[in-house]
Amino acid sequence: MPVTPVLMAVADPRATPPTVPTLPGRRTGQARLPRHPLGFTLMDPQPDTVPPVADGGTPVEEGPAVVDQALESDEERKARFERDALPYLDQLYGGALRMTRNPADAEDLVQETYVKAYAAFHQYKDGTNLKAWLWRILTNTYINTYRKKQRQPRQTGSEVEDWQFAKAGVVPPEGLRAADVEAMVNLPDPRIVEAVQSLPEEFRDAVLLADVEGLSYKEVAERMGTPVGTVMSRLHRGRKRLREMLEDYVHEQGLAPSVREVE
Amino acid sequence: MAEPAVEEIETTAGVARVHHYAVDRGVPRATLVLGHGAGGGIDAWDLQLLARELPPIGVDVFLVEQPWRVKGKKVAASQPQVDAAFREVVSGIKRSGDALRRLVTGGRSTGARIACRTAAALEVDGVLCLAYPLHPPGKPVTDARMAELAAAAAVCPVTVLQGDRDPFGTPLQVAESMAEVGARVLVVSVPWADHGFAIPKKAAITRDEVGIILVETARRVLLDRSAGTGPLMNRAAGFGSLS
Repeated sequence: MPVTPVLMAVADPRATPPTVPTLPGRRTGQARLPRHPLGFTLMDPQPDTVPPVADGGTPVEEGPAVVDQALESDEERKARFERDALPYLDQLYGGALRMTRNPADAEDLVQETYVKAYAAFHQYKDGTNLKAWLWRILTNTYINTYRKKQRQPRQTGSEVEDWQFAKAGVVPPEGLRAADVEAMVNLPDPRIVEAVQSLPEEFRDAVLLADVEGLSYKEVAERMGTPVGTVMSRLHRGRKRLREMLEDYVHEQGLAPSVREVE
Repeated sequence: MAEPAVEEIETTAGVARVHHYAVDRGVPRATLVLGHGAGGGIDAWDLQLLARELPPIGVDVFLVEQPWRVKGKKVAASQPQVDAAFREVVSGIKRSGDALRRLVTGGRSTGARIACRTAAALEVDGVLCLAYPLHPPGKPVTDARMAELAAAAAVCPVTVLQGDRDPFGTPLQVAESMAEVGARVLVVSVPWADHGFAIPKKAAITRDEVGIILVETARRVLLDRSAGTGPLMNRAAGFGSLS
């Protein structure tokens, strides 16, 4: 698979910490890896009062599934993600459905949570509470989505009634089955790489740092040396272009949320 | 957790007791002042959780005990009295703190209403409601309770953490009643949770995970300036103002 050095650098767990993805024409210093006392937080700037915790290379001292994450290959990490994180899919979907009251939104929420979790999985400390870590990502994703939606016209029509929770709340619709998550995390696909590569440089850097690396807007701004507003606008435009370019791909891969299946 | 510094503060409604859970390392980046409900004190699970989890990430937390509780009474004081006590305590905290630091008030249940009613006068940067009592159980939504929440949302970003089994109002009811009056409020639905954020045994979520939803939401409200909760960003993004 013709993978470009850009995404390879991002996907390689040995590159972190503290190496920054090698963005074309942009060599920056050390990535800060601050931590929340409850564990890793994906999306947001952390107060400077929390000291960075040694990550990745630090072996966990107890627990049955101790992994030396520094020596782990991409394949091994992927297998570990599937083995450890995928079993929580049903539970997270159940919670997401109650939170969004809408199967399509719940699917989006859980998908995005897993994509982010996979992208950041090398930073998850093996042996700590993985389900709690996933809930933290889901909560942040929910808040992000909600804020975006508040600026859009209200959607109605497919909200779940209470009686449906019992029926639908336990098992995710087919669109969210393990195989699909597997397909989803099996990035980078050459078509995605190509699409990302075709973005103008500023957009590409913003998308890679925010969506692949999982940095906050503030951290992306620091890294790129631009105001946060600029980052937000570049991200918005970059994501929009990617969506347009990858529309067919998404449908072919069956990654698009399908409401019909649960109705 | 470090023991809080407890201070008794004279207000026009009597002596309030303020429990300060201070940031013990580095410079605090935000301040959260929370009040208790009408049926319980500051020992509520959610208040204690936030007081424990937020200081290590740079948030100074104050839990305010209303004078009626300090006096040992069982029944809450009148609305003007509880509002005055909260307003005076927060004013004091505001005067003694860093003016540039973000100040968010809030509370659980009735405490959330008090924070909403005093938000404009105190010029806070945000309000965090824990289980907002939109209506008494089994009764329709009251206009006053809706108006108080909407009025706060008109002056600052308001975030409501609401259990989806809360008999005082579901997240959907809160969101719909706010949409009805054109107020923007961020409602975070807490799955399976009731008014006290307790969950049934069969829930696919644990109490710890409910805690994560609460702490993460509070963290976003208090520390995340890039996502539109700050006064300036907020106006730029159109969040938190009447649409």
